[in-house]
Order: sequence, then C-alpha cells, then structure tokens
Amino acid sequence: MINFERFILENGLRVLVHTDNSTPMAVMNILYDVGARDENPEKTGFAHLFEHLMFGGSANIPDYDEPLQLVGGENNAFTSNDITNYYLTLPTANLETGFWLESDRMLELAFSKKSLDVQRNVVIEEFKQRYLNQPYGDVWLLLRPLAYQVHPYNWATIGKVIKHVEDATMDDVKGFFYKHYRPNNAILVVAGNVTVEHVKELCNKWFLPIPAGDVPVRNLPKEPTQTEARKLTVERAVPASAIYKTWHIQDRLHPDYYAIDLASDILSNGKSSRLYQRLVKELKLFSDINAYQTGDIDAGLFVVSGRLNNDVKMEDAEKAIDEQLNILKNEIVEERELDKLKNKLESNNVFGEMSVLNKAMNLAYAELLGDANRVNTEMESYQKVTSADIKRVANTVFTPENSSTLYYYAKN
Amino acid sequence: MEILNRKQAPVYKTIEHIEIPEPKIYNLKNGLPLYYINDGTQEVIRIELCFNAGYGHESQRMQANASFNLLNSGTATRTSMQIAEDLDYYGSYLELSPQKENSYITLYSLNKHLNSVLPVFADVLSGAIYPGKEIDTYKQNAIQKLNVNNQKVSNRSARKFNQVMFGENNPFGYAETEADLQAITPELLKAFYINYIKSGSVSIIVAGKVGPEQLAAIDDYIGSMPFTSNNIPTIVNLAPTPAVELSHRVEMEGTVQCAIRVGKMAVNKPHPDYQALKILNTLLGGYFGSRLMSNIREDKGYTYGIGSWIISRQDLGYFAVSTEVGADVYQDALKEIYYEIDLLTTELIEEDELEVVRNYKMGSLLKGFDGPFSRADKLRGLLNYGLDTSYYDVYIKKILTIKPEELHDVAKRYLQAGSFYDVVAGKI
Repeated sequence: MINFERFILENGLRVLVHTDNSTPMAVMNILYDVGARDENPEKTGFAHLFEHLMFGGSANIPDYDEPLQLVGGENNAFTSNDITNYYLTLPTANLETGFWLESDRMLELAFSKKSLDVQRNVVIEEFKQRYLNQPYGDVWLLLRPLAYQVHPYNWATIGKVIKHVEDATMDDVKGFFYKHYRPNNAILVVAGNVTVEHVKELCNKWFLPIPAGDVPVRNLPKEPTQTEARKLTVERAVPASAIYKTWHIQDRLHPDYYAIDLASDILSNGKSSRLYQRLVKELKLFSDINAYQTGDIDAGLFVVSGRLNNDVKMEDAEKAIDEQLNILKNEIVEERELDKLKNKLESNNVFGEMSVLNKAMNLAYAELLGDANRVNTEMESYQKVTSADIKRVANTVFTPENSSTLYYYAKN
Repeated sequence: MEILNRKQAPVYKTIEHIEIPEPKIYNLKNGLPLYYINDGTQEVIRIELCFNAGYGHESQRMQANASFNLLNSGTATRTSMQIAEDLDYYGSYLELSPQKENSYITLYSLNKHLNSVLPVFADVLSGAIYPGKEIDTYKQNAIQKLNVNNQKVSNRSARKFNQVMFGENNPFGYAETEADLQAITPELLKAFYINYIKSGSVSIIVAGKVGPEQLAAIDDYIGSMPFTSNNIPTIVNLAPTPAVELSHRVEMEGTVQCAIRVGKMAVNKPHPDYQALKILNTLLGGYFGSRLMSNIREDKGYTYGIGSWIISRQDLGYFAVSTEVGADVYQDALKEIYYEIDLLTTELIEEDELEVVRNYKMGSLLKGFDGPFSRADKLRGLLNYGLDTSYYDVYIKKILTIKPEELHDVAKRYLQAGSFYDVVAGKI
C-alpha cells in the first residue's frame, strides 16, 4: 500500500506527496508528459536530446548537477516513447535545493549554444554505443518501422538516424521547451521523510510562480489494423542468428492489458516458464529467449525474441515459438500455473515498494494514466484475470496477419 | 510577499553523522555466526551466503563459474525444472553470483513463504549433483554468450586489460575461451562443490524483516550444514605477472567506437591510504561531476560516459578508468585522461571542488546505509576483509576532514605519470 496526498497548483502542476519515515532521504520525481511519440517525424530523437539539455543550466542557475552534488544529492532521467522522467534523491534536510533546481529549469532553460553543441555529440556517441556498436543493437531500429506504419512508435527514442540529432537547432530547442515543459504538462511526486505541509509550502514558493503554457492537445495518428503478416530479413556480423516476432496489442488502459501481461509471464517470467523450459532446456533450440509486452500508453506490441543455437534452422525455431503460442490459444492455463504468476507479481510488487524512488516513479506514472491510486489497485486487476481471459486474448493477438517478424541472420 | 531570488541557492545542511547500527549476531547450531539486519517496511527477507570461493580457487578455468551457476541444475530429489518451479511458485528468487575470490548465493523471499522455500534452498546448497545434460546446455549457451560478448569493444578491452595487469595465469587475469568452457566435466564441478561450497568457508548475512521465527527457521535448515567460518582457503597463483609493454591495442574492424581502459596497481581496503585514494578517485572519475566526466563528456562530447574506480580485492587493489569513445577521437580522449590524472599530481585541489566531493560522498553513503539490503551489502564488504563498522566511522571522518595536501600526496604516490597500462579496443 502506497499512501499519498494529491493537490494541484493554480498553474496546473499536479503534485503527489508520499510519506515514508523509514528513510533519511527524500525523492523528487518530475514526469513531463512528452516523449518520442510527440516528435516531428523529420526531427526524431529530439525528446531525448532535450532531456540531455535539461542538465545544461537554467535561467538563474548556470549548472544543474554541481549544486545538487554539493548538498549530497544525485539525479538522473530517462526518455521513452511516451514520457520524459527526471528524478533526484537527496538528504531530507536539503529538500529545498531540489525545489530550487527543478523549478528553475521548468521556468526557463539557459539555452546555451555550448550545451547544445556538446550534448549533440554526447547523444551521437550514445547512439553509437547502444545501437550501432553492439551486436543486435540495431534490432529496434528495424522492428519499429516494420510494426508501425503510421503511429509515431515507428521510431526509437534515440531517433531514426543520427542525422536528425546532428541537425537539431536552438530554435527547435526553444520551441520544444515552451510547448511541452510547462507546469500544466508535468507531474511532481515528492516522497520520503517529508510532510505534506512542507511540500505544499515549497511548491507555493518555487513552482507556483511559473506560468502555465499552451500545451497542445495530443492528436496522434492511430495505427490501422494490420491485415497481412510482415517479414524482414537481414544479415549481420553476429555470432548467432536471432528471431524477433511482434504482434499489436491494446493500449495501456484497455481492460485486457492485464491478461496480455500475464500471457507474457507464462511464456517467459522465470526459469520455470514455458519458453525457457521447453525451447532452451528441452529442445535446445535457443540459447536465450524472451517474451514481453512493451507496456506503452498507446497500443503497443507483444514481443518474442530469441537467439538460436548454432545448428538450428530459422524455420524450426519459428515453428517452435508458434507451437507454444498455439498452446496458449487452444489450452486452458492450469490453476497452479496461474497462481504462480500471481504470486510472482505480488512478490515483485512487495519488493518494489522497498525503494522510495521506485514508489515515486510508479505514482507519477499512475497519475499520468489518470489515477495515482492505480499503484494500489493494479494487483487486484491482475488477480481478477482468469484462464479464459488469457486464452481469449491469445486468440485475438497471436494471428499471422497481426505479426511482424524480423529474421536476423548471422553472416558466416 | 518577499520577491523570490532564484539566483540564491537555499541554505543547506552538511551531513556530519550517519546512523550505522551494528549488525546483530545469531549463533547457528553448527557454530557459525549469522549476521542479521532487522529493518525496513516490507515483509521480505534476503538470505545471503558469501563463500570464500571463486576464480582464485579453481584447479581449471571456469570451474568456479560453472559450479555456482549450475548449483540449481538438480539434486537427488529435484530436477532443475522442479527447483525453478518450487521457487517461482512462491515468487522467490535465487541469485548465483560467482566472482573472483568471494562468490554469493542469495535467496529472496516474502516472509510468508519463507518456510516453503527454505527446504528448496537447503536442498540446492547441500545436494547439488551436476547432471551431464544440464552441463551440456550450460556450455552451449555460455559459448554463444562468450562469442556475442567478444564482439563488444567494452568486453574486449576489459579482457585485454585484465590480461596485461595480472597475467594470463592469474585468476584475475585470465580471459576464458571456448576451449575452457568445453573442458568442463561433471567431476570437475563436483570436486569444487564439495570443497568450496557444500563444506565451504562462508559468512551468512540475513536482512529484511528478521525476527526470532525467521532465525529459527533458517537455523533448522542452514544450521545443520557442514560449513566453516574460518579455514579460509588460499588463492592459487595470486601474484600478478603483469605485461612488460604498457600500451596495448586490440584491432576490431568495423566498430564505430573504441573502448579504453587505463589503470595500474594500487592498494586495497585495509591499507591506510585506501580511503584517501577512494576520495581522490571520486573527484577524478567517481561521480557525474567528476573531472573526467566534466572534461571528456561535458566539455568535449567524446563519450556518453566515463568513470574511474579503485577496486579492492582481498590481497591487492588497483585503479582503472573505463570509457567508450568515438573511434576517430580515441587518441584525444586518451590524452585528456592522462592530462586529468597528471593534474592531480601537479596541482593542489581547490577547497570548493573538494567541498562538493565531500558532500556528494556523504549523501551517497547516507543512501548506501538506507534500507536493510543496502546495509547488508555494506556489511558484506566489511566481513570479506575482517573489518567491522568502525571502518565507516574512520571513513566518514576522513571524508569530512581530508586536506588537499593529503590528496596531493596520495596522488603523487599512486598515480604518478608514466606507469599506467592502457588498452584500446576498436577500429584503430
């Protein structure tokens, strides 16, 4: 159970406070409701580049990191296709420093040319390090455009190509900031050894004076129903061939979300899961195999990916995956297996609540989804899923015409 | 209402004290001390066995790695599938972490399921049989993973770095090959298991909600096992045989980045200079505001990230810098790394910069002692060296009071120019 209080400032900033007196630390998590899906298709990778620029100084504070480190704090951030999330941890006594820093960069950035020049390079190196210079690193650069033709999940957060990052201008940066980085487009969670009163006081002092902005209403193209199986074959200098299969699923708020999530757990959560036991241990077709759903806010993907053992043919590997999916479509999941999955979820949840930062992030995300209290009710939603639900969603999702497959061959 | 001055930083407090409670000790039936930390808000428990066993105790390469990783591959009464199923069913996790000199076996469980998973945990610890079929699967998968890793510049530079620093015959220096993995046999694993795990030298740390009930339950299973807490086995081939040449290059065609490692031998945790060296290292490359990060990422944009470490082993310690940079700028990056190291030996650090390091480190320590699992990790790092929590009293005092002169002195003694190994892997 995560207790919290919620209030909204006049400028639209939503604030959640979670008190946990067992820690000497406090956490601030700020979620901006903007991600790679909000980018111009000709200027991709921008939301993520922008995240880097948020550390390059703000209107009144030349450097973000140093003052935070000076008071014993640490911070980081991440960008996804849906959101950009910033977080910091510091000793409770120095909480106000966090408010000072976060409110100033919400007020206005420094827009320094040097910062833009350097961070463009840093992001280009990140692009190389994670996507180009790693075996299998380009998989999602290939899979996204295969699975999505219209919706902006078509590109990865790092961007479609390095050139988009290289071409980013200061005008783009300013435009993006005033469009998306407004209090009425953000959710602030303060958690740890804090009181609601103190947080309110600090919010009024530091965040309330920031004017609201004209945040555009999101109107993204909906991905049309896929009607034909898509396939892409590539050859790369990797030691082992791999297969990646995706199917379109419902959005995050759809009631079937929980059944789909459990279906992926049946296939690959833990060493006793079906794909690992059957395809890795018994049949020795794969050295490694995974199934998961992307968890995106808009309609996402169910993914099965595996690396083939050396003498295994691609057709046999794919057939074995299909067989496992057919079992999900045709047979009822036994009570004990379903209980196991629910026990695992409960356990993940209890262990997850050991971390204050984790609780703060989950609160912010649940608030974005429409109700912060989802952090406390989602377990029930999972508990309600039946074997019949799983069979039903498996039959709607795992159809050939809904699939996109990437055959990733090792070049000999 | 007074006007808000956003240029003025809020007043802050320096952390000068961190609450570090002593761990409690419970004596198991077999005479072993069990250290426990009863803390936290959640009804969870973590049982960790830290074995004095690792790569340093092998009679053949990869023996330790495979012995630990295959511990849950079957017992007289359970197949690998049953072990996995019996733990998964209760949402429990078993972590097997073979390392160079101490290896860890860790069980995570909800308190309400502890009694259901302890028998499985005990069975795995005392009854592993290493079935041949499981070993074959392990080999096949490990070889593929090795081949994938060998395509990464970061792995190749790390492998080479360990070889040149410690020598190919040293347990810290060897880089495993496909042939090493192929040579693993059930007998080899059983021999290691019997000597170093089943009746091994071990420290036990339990953290989470730990009450008398949990301790008694653990004692019922672990307390009857033939572990020892002394008789620490010696490490084989410990003395490094470092390379004569200082610079090493690993050419990898078609890579767009190069991985760099720079380093040299230093001192380990019990040494009187270690704490000062750790503080100096934080300033150089141990946090986001460090000199290496500021120069090579935030000023030059050569990399996504760079860091440096003082790594402590039981009988030795060393210093290392690691980064991945654009292939076209690796020489410039290397030059800047040496520039920053050298600067520590030629110029005194300003008090302003040191103040940031002090406060950052105190905040980071405060966080490091927050929660039962974090505290258990810290305790493990002490027990491995026979140290107790007074180590941190000394360390905290050192962080708060160290002077630029002492850091300068330490830099001159441990980071003198001209004596570093450097390894670059990538398109050169």
